[in-house]
Amino acid sequence: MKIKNYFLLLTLIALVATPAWGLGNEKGKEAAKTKASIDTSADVEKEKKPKKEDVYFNLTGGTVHTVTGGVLRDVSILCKNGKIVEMGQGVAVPENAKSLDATGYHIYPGLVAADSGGIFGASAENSTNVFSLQMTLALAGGITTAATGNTAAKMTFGSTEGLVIKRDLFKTLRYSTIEPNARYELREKFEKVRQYLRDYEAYEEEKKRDDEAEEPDKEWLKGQYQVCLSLFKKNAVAKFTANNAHELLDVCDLVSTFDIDAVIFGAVEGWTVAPQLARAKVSVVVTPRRRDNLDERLNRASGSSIENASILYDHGVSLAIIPANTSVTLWGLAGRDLLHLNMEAAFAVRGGLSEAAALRAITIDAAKLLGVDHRVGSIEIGKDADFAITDGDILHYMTHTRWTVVNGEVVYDKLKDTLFDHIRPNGELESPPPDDYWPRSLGADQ
Amino acid sequence: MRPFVKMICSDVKLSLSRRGARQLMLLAWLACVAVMPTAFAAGDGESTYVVVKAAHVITVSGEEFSPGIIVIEDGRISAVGSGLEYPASAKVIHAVRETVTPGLILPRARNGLPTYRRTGVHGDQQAASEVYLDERDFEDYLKAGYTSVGIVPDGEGIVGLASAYRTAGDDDARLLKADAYVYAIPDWGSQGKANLRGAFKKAREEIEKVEKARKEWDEKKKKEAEEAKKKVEAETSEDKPKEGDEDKVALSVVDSLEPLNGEEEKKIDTDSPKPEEVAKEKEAQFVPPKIDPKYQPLVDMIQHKDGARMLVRLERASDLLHMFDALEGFDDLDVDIEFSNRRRSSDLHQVIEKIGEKKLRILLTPSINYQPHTTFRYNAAAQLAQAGAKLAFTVSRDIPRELRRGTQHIAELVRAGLPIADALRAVTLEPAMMMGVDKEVGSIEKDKSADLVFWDSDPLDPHGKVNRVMILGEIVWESDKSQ
Repeated sequence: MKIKNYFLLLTLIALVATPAWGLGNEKGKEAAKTKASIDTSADVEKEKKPKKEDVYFNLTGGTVHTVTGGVLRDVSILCKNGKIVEMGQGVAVPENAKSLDATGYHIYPGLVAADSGGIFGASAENSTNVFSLQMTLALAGGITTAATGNTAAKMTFGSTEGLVIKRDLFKTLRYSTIEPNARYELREKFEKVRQYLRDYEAYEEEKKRDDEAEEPDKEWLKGQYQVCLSLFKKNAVAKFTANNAHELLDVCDLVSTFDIDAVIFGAVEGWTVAPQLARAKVSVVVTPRRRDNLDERLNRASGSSIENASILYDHGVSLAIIPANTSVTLWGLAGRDLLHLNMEAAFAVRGGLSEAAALRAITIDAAKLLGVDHRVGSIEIGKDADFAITDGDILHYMTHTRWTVVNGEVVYDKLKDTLFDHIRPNGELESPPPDDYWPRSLGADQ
Repeated sequence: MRPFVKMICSDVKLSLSRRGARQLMLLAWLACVAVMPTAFAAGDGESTYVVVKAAHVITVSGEEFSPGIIVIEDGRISAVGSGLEYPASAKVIHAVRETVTPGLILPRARNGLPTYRRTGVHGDQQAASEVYLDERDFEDYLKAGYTSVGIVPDGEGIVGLASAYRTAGDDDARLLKADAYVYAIPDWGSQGKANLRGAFKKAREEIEKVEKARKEWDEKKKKEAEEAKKKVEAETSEDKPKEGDEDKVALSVVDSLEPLNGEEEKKIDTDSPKPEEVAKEKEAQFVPPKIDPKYQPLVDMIQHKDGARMLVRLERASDLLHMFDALEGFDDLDVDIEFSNRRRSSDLHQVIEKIGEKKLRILLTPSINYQPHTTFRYNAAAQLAQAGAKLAFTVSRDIPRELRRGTQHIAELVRAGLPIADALRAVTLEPAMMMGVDKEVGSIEKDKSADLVFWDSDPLDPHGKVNRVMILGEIVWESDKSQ
């Protein structure tokens, strides 16, 4: 009986409680409703702002040289808002996608120049002329990213959006044999900062035991000292210019003594000290076509060598290649300016460097050296949609860039820009070059 | 006295919308325009009428009349059409072989004023402070048919306010608008973009400064009010027991007059601080912190004040994109652009569609340009007009020779595809709008001032010459031939 009563009581409680419950639930629902309505209003506010539509770009056909993932054929590369999102066969392409058929052409990642001049303004984001002839010429050379001053920027022709991709690339240090005092001072500074870091570590240890431990003085830690500190902490990369063997060895010594990341520009005699450079783990930027005569007075190998890049690469030194002149000059007539970045790499191949390594030295390795390899330098999903589409092997002397794509936009078209339109080495005459009479008429024909 | 009343009415309307400096100027103008005709009118206070009978009248804003009649009442156009009636007392100007158009307007000129290097933001500088009115200086403008001209300050950065002038007439009526527009010549080659952005950011900070001060003041007032309330409440709560006490005292002393006196005293006590408080409140009215006068015009632009506008000088097509970047976050600023396409090759063609899309007003030198490094010629003005941009023309240099050639250059553009209507608008109404004086000049419309040019043939005829120029209903210049 007791159990029965118990059940009865339970049912009664249940009966009494249900309406209350129901009410509670309804209240909850109402609350949820109001919440939902607030959310939707927020959505409406968002919608009021002009929402940018996704821009798709589809690159089909052609031979894709991914640089980091081998060579692919008959694939399409789908890009969304300037980034590669899908790559392969049978990619579903949205209807509003702009597409470019590159059948018969070679698709490379946009080339990366480790240094440049005259293409971007003194302050890249403030004063770059994004319609300049210099930029068009660089694009015609297949270059899409370049370092300018201490900034890495992209050649977003006709737009200022996404121009700068990295600031403060390097901390430039002077460590030259002709300035012994400066060398001494720099070394002293590194020593002092290293001592400070040791003292600080000791202080931290001491603090665990003694609360009244004194922090080492850091009032003096300014200017160049701060640079040294950031290098010690590996927040920055040091940039040296060194060409002679002994200069290179000195830099290697400094770099390995203090364990910092460093890039050496020049390295003409790098081939004579390649093992030391490799051991110091420095990256170098070389110019294969640079000519320095050997010094007859020296009892060692000296001067430039066409094998420089090849020897350095074989020893495992990270390599980027730039031409002797890092701006676009003489409209490329001299052939040793930035317009011929690919030719400079081809000369390294002439000296024994493998073609793959030469390509790396003007794409992914150059990007790594600048610290922008997460954005550019190879054709990979998630990276920027920057392509140099050429009518042949990019290291071949007859090859011309047919299209250049930056952020999923065709910014150079050989047949539309009048610069190289008349040069048709492969005899493609489907669309004849325009008559070059003067003056051109105004009006409908344009 | 009908016209006088009308004038006053119009002045009241204007004074509501415009600022003090302009009011003064307008009043001065009023004094001359409204008083002079009454002085000359035959004593009855009747209006003076001038009637122009022309072979052809191009109104710019409306239809064309040939033959056409323009009726001018006290220097203002009162009617335009063909076969209009006019008072018999009117002075008739017979221009039976002439074409009459509104006076041309040059929105950017330096008029031979000295150049000087001034950098930074100078919103407090007006070109009017540099201008010394001299008839001879403006004669070249009259010869070329210009009746209004915008004089700009010189320098680099935000150089100051341009001032709109009439090129002839009574000195008091010369100044049309002292603060026509802010003129900016950013140094696009280096820090121009950063400086332009910085200037507008600073202006916004100035606004925020005022808003913050206002908020603080409001809060302070609220607190004071609350405290005062509390005090009053406290006083009243203190008073009540006092009254009770007094009542008790009264009851105990049994004197009926004393409590009454006490109440009267209290009334006086409570009343007496009130006027003081009112006075204090009056004294403590919110005084906003002073806005840096250099940034005042930019502040006005951000706050969308009437007539606050800017003209930005661009050197290359790329500068337009940099300008958009610099002004990002400041919505609907009234910004016109000036494109320096003086040299033969210009990359303006790169941004024509962008300018058309945004329906910007662009000030150009009327010339056919080459695409840089090519032999491709293009008619930027025609393409801009087609794209939907608003065109205004200036001259490559404001020297007499170029002034006279202005219309010839425009004629060349018309020959190469620019619609005539757009071309005429670009030297009359659009520049007037650019300077914010389009209610006063720029077209032949009712109530606008009678600033007219009489051409011996079509204004865009390369052989055409200016015969006469009228400003505020008076012929101010006449060529030797027409006499």
